[in-house]
Amino acid sequence: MMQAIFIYLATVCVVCAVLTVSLRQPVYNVMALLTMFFHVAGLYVLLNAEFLAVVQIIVYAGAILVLYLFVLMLLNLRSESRHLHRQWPFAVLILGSVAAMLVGAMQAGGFGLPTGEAPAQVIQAVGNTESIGLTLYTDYLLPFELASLVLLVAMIGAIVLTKKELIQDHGEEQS
Amino acid sequence: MELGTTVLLAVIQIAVVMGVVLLSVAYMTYAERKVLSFMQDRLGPMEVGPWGLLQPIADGLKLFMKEDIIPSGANKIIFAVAPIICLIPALIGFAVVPYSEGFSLLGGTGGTITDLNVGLLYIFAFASVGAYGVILGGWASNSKYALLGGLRSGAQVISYELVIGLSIVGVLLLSESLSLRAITEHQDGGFWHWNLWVQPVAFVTYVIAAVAETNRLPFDMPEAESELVAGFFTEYSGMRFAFFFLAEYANMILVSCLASVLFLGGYEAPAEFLNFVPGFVWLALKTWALLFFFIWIRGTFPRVRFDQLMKFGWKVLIPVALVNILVTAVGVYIVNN
Amino acid sequence: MGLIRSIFMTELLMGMKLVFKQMFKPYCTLQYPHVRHDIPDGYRGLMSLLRYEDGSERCVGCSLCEAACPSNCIKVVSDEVPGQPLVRYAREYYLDITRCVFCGFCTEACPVDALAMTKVYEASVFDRRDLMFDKRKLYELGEQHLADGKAYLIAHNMDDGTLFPKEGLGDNRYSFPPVDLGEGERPVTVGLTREALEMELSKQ
Repeated sequence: MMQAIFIYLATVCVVCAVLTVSLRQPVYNVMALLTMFFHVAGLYVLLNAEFLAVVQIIVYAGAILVLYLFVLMLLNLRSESRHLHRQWPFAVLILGSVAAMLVGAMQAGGFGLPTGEAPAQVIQAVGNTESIGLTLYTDYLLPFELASLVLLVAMIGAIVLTKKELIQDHGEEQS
Repeated sequence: MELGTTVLLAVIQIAVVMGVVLLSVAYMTYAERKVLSFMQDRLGPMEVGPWGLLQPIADGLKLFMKEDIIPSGANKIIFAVAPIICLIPALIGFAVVPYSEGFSLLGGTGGTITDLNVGLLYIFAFASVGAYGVILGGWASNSKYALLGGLRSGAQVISYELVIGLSIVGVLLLSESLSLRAITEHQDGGFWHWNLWVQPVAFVTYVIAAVAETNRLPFDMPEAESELVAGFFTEYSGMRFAFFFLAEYANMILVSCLASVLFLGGYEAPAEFLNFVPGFVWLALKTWALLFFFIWIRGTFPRVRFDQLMKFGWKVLIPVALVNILVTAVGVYIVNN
Repeated sequence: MGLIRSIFMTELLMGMKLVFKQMFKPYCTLQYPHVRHDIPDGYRGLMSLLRYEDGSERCVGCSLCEAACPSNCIKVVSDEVPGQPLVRYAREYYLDITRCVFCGFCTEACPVDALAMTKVYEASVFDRRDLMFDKRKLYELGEQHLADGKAYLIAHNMDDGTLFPKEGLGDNRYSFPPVDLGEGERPVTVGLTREALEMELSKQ
């Protein structure tokens, strides 16, 4: 049962990921990506990580992808032929070698690796949100804060880039 | 419990909840027309049935029998899918709303269709997906009004989702859970235990953001009829239009349900001696009071301008909500230690 | 102070309070098809032609209404009454309601008070040709709404004389008293009765 669901989710994920880069209509690409995000969320649910699943939908589907769609609608890339499609043999070559490498690594390593400190039973006992919160704010506090810093820098950068003209105008007036 | 019983229990509860929700949606349109009429010294619909009580049914039949027009140049697939993308998230959120205290039914526990431990986030996840229906519907219609309406709606929904998300954090800090049932039970025992009294600022920001999130007056930019005809569903007709309509009203009922669960104690009675009244009656009463509030402000305020809306969201509501989180967190820390 | 006011949204709440109070005021609309307004006597509704009380037509075919009409919607075809030289009537009378502006000048121009406006305002039809009123339709309207027509003439034209000739003459109106040709007591009809007219038309 679980395996059947996993196979379904994984297949749709892969198919949608391929469709995301291969469809010609940009809005269809976004829709394929949206479908993929939902199925990735489904994979999280299978792993007893409901919090991650829901956050996946809120952040990726609800916020980031809507902005993509926004930009696409404003750009109106209706039937623009895209040169990237001509490079597909190279892409297949590179991705094929990467995939072969991955499969080889998995064959060599096997699946019997240690499960870590938080298997499904522990998570269910403590609670999904609590366990993530505890891990994030104790063990991984530094990476978490660094990530927030990176995001802050990106935000300031975006503001500076979009308000460049205003800032320059202001400077010229003063000088 | 066997799988068959679980499924049967779920199906029964889904059928009942969806029936009540769809009936409420239908009569919400009636109530809106009536209340607005009374506010404007009119009578509203009076012809179909006594006091026009059958009006929503007549309207529904009319919409479902109308011709379905797809404009030329529209993207047919997305045009057809958009209303459904809009409607499903609005209805799916009711799955985690606890409508009554737990009662045993068929060997299982009723009272919620499913009590997710991330219930609140689940609702917001699907509410944010609802914006796709609006944006795609606007884009696929091949009409400038629809496109502008869709863009406005996208910007508005994204901005005000942040406000909603931030204003509920205070409640989460208090009840220490994301499960709606746990949040409700935390407010047990009389109306003075309601989160409303502990989190008044969050309540106000939540309600304002909820009005904006559901595209209602005075924040109905996406469908501002005096400038955009009907906004993102200008080109829609018949059943697809009805889907958008249903989605809007179902969303209103959902955010009202959520507000009554988060701030007004959900199905809990306002005082101990009123405990004999079943829980769903209290939830319905609180929800309808909030829905009346929605209609009330629609009857009172004129539409704000789009830049005012954005400025208000980003420069007033979000800072206020953030300060509220800070104050609540400090308060919870002091009380707990 | 202003800051406190805007934080507590006093002005918005004041507005909401006003709207809430308004909910309990009585409604001021009429449930139209079931309840109708009382229309004043001077109301300018659809046009109609009147008859004398013995059934003869008032209209003498003078075409003054046609001359007075600012939108040229009246067409009168005048003719002699057969066998009665010097006595004329309107053989045909057309009024195009789609062009009529309901100014009432024709009723003011009419020297014999043959034209009156009724209180009928529901003029919608399924076929626009039905809005081209002919003589028969106008007389029908006059018969159906005789009281309204009389009331209009009294209120609008300030006329109380020619309408009721036996009660004295009006001073702002020409009067055409029934012509007595010396034959019998009964006043001779000016114009034709409807039945006579129909016979006349069927002969042609």
